[in-house]
Amino acid sequence: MSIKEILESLEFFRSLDSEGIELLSSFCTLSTYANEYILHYESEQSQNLEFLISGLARSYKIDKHKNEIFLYYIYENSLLTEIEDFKSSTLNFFSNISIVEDSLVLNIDYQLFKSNFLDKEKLCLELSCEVNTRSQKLQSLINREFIYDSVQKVSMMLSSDLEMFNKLKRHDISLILHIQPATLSRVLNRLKRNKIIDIIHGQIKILDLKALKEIVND
Amino acid sequence: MTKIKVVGVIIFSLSILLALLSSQISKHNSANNDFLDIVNAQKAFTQDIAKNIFFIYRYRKTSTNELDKSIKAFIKNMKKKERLIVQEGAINISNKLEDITNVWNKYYLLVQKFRDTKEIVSPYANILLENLVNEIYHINIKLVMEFDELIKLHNIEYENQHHFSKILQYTLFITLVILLIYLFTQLKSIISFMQKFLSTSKNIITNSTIKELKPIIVEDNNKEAQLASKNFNLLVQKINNSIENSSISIEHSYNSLQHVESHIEDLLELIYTMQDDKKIDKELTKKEDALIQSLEELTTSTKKLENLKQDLDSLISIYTLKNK
Repeated sequence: MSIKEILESLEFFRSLDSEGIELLSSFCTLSTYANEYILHYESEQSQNLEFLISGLARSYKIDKHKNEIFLYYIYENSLLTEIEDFKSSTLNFFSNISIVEDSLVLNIDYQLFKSNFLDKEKLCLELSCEVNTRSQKLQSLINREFIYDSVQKVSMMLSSDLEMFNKLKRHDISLILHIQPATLSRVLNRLKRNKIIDIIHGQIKILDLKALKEIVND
Repeated sequence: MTKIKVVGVIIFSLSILLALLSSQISKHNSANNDFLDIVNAQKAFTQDIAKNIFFIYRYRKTSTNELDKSIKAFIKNMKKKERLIVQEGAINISNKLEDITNVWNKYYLLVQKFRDTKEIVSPYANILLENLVNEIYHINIKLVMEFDELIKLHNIEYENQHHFSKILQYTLFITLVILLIYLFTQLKSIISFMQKFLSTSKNIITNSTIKELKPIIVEDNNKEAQLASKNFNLLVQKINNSIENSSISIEHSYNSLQHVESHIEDLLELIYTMQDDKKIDKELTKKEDALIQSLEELTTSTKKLENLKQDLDSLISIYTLKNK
């Protein structure tokens, strides 16, 4: 696919006419990254606005004991870069971004994008929606880290992202949820005994989604 | 420190004494110079008088104004000199001055005779005048010799009077220099200690960790420096001990948490066996959730304590402090 076709296929740029797509494609590039590639480090600066076209990335930070603190996943068709200040011409990274699955990334020159679109009040709504999505992820992060207990954390992930839960190893899930692997195992046993989930060959199957959501909202 | 204070006071006192003595010697030198100036001026005036006499004898019509001026200046100077001699209070000098006065009186009488005789124009007067000039010439030489003797006597007297002062001045100066050298050697050890103290304190303040905290090692015998270094080393040792104690406390807490964890696991097992396979007891499930969360928090706390202990272990100094 050409850059122009990719831009046309993205929901974010749906409001642009062909002239706008043409102009935007003139300062865009495409990059592919392999699994486990670290795309950006914390506090790094960038001149490009990046979109994850396909693949999966994750945002995380490192504490002083070199422990990895998982923040959230970045799924395809969403913004990779964070915009901290709309007035600034450079972009700062709050966290480390690494590639989880082989990914295709669209790089847009931020200064040109800003002068040609944002300053002319184009794509502002779409960008606000992306910022809002990021804010929701951070809300979810606050719930996960400060409000929920271990059973609620596991239940939330099972109810919202079962596919990812089954795809990842138990150790990685415990890292994402910030709980001990033993706790994860205890929670899964508790849910299985209560007939809310079933575990077949290591894969989780939800038996009672309502009960699972009740645990999250309890 | 007491030694330095005492030496400082002695140096201060000696400096004042030396300054007063030097001032006194300077005053005496000044008076001596004034006296020598006057005596030399007297010599010059007698020479002037003699010169004028010879000139007038050669050229009879010459005015006697210059001669009068020289005589007046000599008499005026004579009074100043008498005053200085009284101050000096030396008997032999006073005697010599009396001799000079007698010679001067003779000299002056001859000069007056010359003045009177030079007005008379006769062959006898010419013979008298010649004799007078000849006599003036000899008495002038005598007067100059008397002045030279006076200077010599004065110098001897001056040397005798100030010999003790000079010896005292040199002694004071040498003592002062010796005391200053002693003070410098004492201060050197204090300054060396202060530099070590500042350097070690600065290292502790500027370093982000207190790892490898070194005690101050003082090699000199200064009691105050040794006491200060001992106090400082005690403080450093207390810091290290407190960190070591904290580390041990954390280790105990860590072990206690593991025990609690094991008990909770037993309790959890008990709840599993209490639960009926067919019926779900909500209360028991809530208790199970709470126990799972407690175990999770205990395990997390244990890990955090473990990390904290690692941090503290890295801070503990490897140096064993020695009390001196």
